[in-house]
Amino acid sequence: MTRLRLFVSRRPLSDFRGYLVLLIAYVVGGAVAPAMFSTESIRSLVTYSVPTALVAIGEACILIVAELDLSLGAILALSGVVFARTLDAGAPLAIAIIVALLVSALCGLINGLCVTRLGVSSFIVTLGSSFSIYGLALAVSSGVIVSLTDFGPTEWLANYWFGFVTPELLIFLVLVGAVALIVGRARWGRALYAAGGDREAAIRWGLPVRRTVLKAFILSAALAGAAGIILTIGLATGDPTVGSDTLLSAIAGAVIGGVAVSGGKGRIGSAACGAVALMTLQIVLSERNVAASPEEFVTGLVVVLVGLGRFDIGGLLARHRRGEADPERRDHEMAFGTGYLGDQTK
Amino acid sequence: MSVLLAVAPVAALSTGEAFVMIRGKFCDLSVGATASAAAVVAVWLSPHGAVVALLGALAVGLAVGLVNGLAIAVLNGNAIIVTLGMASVVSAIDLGVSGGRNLSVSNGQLSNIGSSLVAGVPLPVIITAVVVVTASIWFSRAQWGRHLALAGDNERAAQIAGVSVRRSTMLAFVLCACFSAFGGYILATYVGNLNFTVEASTALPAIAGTVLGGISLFGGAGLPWYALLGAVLLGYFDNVLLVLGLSPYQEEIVEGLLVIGVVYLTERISFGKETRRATF
Repeated sequence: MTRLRLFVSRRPLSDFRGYLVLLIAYVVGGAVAPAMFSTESIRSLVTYSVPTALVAIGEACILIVAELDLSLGAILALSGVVFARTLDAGAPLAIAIIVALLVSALCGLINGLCVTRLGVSSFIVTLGSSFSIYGLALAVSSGVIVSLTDFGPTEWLANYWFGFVTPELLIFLVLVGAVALIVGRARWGRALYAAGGDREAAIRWGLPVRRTVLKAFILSAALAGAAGIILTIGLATGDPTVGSDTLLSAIAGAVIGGVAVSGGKGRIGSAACGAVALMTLQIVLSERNVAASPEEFVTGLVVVLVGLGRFDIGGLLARHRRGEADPERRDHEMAFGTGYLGDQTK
Repeated sequence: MSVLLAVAPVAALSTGEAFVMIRGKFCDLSVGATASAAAVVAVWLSPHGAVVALLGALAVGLAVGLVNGLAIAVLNGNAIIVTLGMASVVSAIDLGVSGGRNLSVSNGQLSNIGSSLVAGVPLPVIITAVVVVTASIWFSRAQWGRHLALAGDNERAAQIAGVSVRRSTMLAFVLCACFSAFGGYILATYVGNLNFTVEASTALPAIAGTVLGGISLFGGAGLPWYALLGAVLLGYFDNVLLVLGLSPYQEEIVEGLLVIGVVYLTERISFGKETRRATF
């Protein structure tokens, strides 16, 4: 008799961790601060977490393919500033959005080209480019925060339905759904997992790994750009200094949601939920404290914890006590004695 | 001369990064936060004298380095992610404890160090140079230095040969944090008013200096004083850009691109067409 499959997906359960964590975070948060369950709170939670969640799903794509993008915060800032400047210059809303997204995608393209063509490690490329892009954002905004004057659709944006469904939430859901579908089903998405799981095997199989990685960088940059636009609209200002906290929360959120830092694992929807869960935690913390540091501290701590690898406490303690060496080391010591040739000072 | 004075703290940070890079763990992104926290502690302790202030600063470095080392060496953490998180943690603790006020260095031993000149060279510069060179000489002669380089070159082989890789990694991160703290101390000696946010994002200029000095990202090669050289070069390069009329923002743009370019060139020269693939 065939077993009834309750769950169709073949992916490990940890991939869906984000949904569970979000649920827990929300319930616990609600228990600690019951005001969380009101529709106003949900609305503000949405506003607060949409940018981070968008960056998180972009970062998730990058992490799945076993790379790291540290410049998404800078791209978010640049996009916001470009968007604000373009609007101020009198351009219509659609044009400003397109320009900001194009600039972001261009940054992603440059990142991707440096990684795939120049072969420089992605962490160095994005570390350097984050610096440059922040410099560019500061230059474009001339160092000041750009205010949005005379912004048209503000009335429409203030709408909401059923208490908490804002236009932002709708845009966010559409974007997350689209990316999740692409990563989950499209050929490029499958190539992401393959290239992330075992890069060399993917190359040998003939997968277009370079193009896959390049597209990942472009997409995540575009998502960060969208996040920047949304943030700018929400704040009504283009700030060239934002983004680093968002990036940190995005990385942590993605990993909480089940994306592995080593690549090849994770789901987009879960990553988004992980980011929202982290934002929920931050809101709960900030409701109880005036100072900003607990949020920064907790986010940093979460990042440290998600960055830890596999370790076996029992084994560590046991080995420490017994002083037992590993077999190859023991063989080497038996053959050559302790130490090595380089130690001999004679 | 003023360039050297401004470069001295960054040089200390770069030297710290050098140890982590030689060990092959790519980098420590918490150096800026550690330096900032150490500077605050040094200023806070400055009424008790320069030595006490130095000890306080180094204590901060030791604490941060131990946590980093524990997370990365013992708990197998990913160096980049862990130190990225630690930067926020240290920064948050710093802000929480110091209350974000502006601290001014009291007129005492500490600021005396900052304003003294020896044969025309600022004392902080000389102290930094002496410390870095001494550490580098010790590194090239001592067993711990060789172990660091071996572990960075081929971790498994070093492990089999009897090198305690975990201890080397711990040492690398502790040294890095201590050098960052030392950099913060040096900064405290000559900065009149310590604004709390003393460049918490100084990780990149520090890494830029280390890489520019010729230390490979992948480990095993190089000596700590290369980083000093790289930091000084970077400092003069920045100065040239300023003189050429570039705004600080344009300078940042150039610096970011420079790091990418330098890493690309050094990898290309070291490994030829096939660039080694890192995990990131």
